[in-house]
Amino acid sequence: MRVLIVEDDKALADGLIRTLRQSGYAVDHAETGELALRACAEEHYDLVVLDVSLPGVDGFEVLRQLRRDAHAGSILILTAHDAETDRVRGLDLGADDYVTKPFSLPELEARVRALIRRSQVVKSPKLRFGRLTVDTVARRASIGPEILDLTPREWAVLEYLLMRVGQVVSKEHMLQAMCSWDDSLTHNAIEVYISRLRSKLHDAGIRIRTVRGFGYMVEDPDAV
Amino acid sequence: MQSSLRQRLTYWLLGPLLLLVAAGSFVAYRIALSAATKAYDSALLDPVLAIASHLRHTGTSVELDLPSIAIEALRIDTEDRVFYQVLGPGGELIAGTPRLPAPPEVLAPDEHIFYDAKLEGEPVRVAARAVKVETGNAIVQVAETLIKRDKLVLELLVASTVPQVLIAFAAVALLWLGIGQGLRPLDRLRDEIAARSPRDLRPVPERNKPREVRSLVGALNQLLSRLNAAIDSQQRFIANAAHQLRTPLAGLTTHAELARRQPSTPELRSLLDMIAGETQRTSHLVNQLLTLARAEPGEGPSGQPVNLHEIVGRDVRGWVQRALGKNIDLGFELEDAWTLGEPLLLRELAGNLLDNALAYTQTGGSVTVRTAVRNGESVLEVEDNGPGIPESEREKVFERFYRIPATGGEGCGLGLSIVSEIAGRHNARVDLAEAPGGRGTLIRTFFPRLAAHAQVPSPLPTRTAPTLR
Repeated sequence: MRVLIVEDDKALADGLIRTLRQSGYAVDHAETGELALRACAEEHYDLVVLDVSLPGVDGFEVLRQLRRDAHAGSILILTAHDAETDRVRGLDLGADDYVTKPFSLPELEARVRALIRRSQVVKSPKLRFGRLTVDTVARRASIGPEILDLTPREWAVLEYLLMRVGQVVSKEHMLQAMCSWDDSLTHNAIEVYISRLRSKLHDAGIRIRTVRGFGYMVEDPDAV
Repeated sequence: MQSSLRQRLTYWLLGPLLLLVAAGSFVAYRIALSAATKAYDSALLDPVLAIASHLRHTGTSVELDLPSIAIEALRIDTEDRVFYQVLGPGGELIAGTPRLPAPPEVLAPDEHIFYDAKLEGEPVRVAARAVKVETGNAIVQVAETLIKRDKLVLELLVASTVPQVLIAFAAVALLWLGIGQGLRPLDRLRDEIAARSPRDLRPVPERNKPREVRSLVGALNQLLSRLNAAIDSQQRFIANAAHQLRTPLAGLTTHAELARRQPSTPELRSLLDMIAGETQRTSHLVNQLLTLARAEPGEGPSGQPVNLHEIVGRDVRGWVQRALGKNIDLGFELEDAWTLGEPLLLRELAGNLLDNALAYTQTGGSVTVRTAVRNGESVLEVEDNGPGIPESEREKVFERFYRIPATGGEGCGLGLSIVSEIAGRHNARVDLAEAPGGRGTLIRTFFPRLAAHAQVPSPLPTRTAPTLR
């Protein structure tokens, strides 16, 4: 996994580089927007961690140019600006996530992991979550050698949750995402699938937490 | 002291006006009085001349050759009593009453004077004339009481004063109305300024204003533009400070966290934990202070339609992480509740309510967030079953930097003051009570509900989590 950190503050960049290297990623660093664009032209990065306030070409411009050039990797915006308009602008320009400084390191790591996983799906269909292995092409999940018996609906719910490990997912969004797949899906049906998935995933060390009145969250089994 | 311009102007004009009226009345009265006195005096001289012409002097003696009936005729008057006296050259009484005093000065022959005197304790007006006889001057005096003169004085007084006073009253009334009319532009200016929203710092238009008011408006506009500049520079400072502080703080938290993950001695480990904790608190404090500065009135655009349901939905993830860490059962009961507001500030408000509840609720407790419309208001409330806030502390917890003694929370004491500041900016009420279970805290914020017809979809992205690209 290759990650590019674009950050002009040397101390923060150093901290981020160490963190992500410890997580096992190959990390490069660019101090300016120009350098970042040049690096992206030469290398493929699965993830770009992008500061907004950069000397010269700023983060938003880098983001715009990367998306214009069909840069496929994920982009996480890292910024000291927490104004709503900046956030919306970043996401509209094609950022995948937005983290405001100062952030908690575990949260940043969780977001990075989620983004990397998603970019991974494009390259390799197999993903690991603790003891659970998921093949997104074969639509198959297994714990060790044992393949789980999942109905298509259960599979859809599981895939949706696994793509958002460590994030709270609202029932509304789950329903919206799946209604093209099955119009008859209801709140109650989702609860039924979740309870079945819980018992089937029991041995995999995957816990699906209920957020009362809101939705669900799969705890990240790889979190520190 | 509150003073009205109209009152001041009226008093300033009324005083001199009344003095002028008084002086005018006085002068008119004196002129009239002197004319009247002259007329009455010359009438009083007639009987004196009549008596004088009937004085006969034979040798050394002088006598009045006038039948008593004629004298009585001279004395006839409709209102006043009339007295007469004739004195010989030696001062001896020749005719009339002896009780009249002698004239106050020595008279030359055929000279006459008028003077005031008293007769039997009653004030009288006396006309005296010297008549030449062989042995010297005889004096003829006629006196009359002052009844008709006093009557005239009174009439003159009334005649000269009443119109003046009436004119004065009319003038005051006209002044009052006229000043009111003249000050109308000030009233309009006041209405214009009062009708503004507190955050509207645009200059007040100067056209169509009288010259005097225009200078006032000019000064006001100068103040407004200075205020605008001050607010602008404050906002720039805040934005700058945010960036300048947040980036190094992010570096610091990152390094502190990395250091904690290194193998180390228990001693070093506990020190690193302290550093990481302190760094986190500093970050939190910086964020809170910036929020507070931003929430202060005078800044920012007016609100947009916001659904409190969505506001809460945005930050669920971070709260759930924290709740999981403390094994707190965090629940949501969210219904659509629209109001006008600034999404970022409302998120801070919700975040601070949640932070507080999560920080002070014990492990294994529960926290519930609700949004709903109740009694025509949009409500956002957070309920916990933590230790609760004692009645005596409920006012104080909204003060800046106040922390309830001995609660051991890690807050900086700004959370609830931020809540009340942001609520104030949205015309919302904050209410702090005991949770219905008889344990814990229920904090409710009541926002003005946005009418149904004004509801438009939120212009903000509604996703709580980035979707798969």
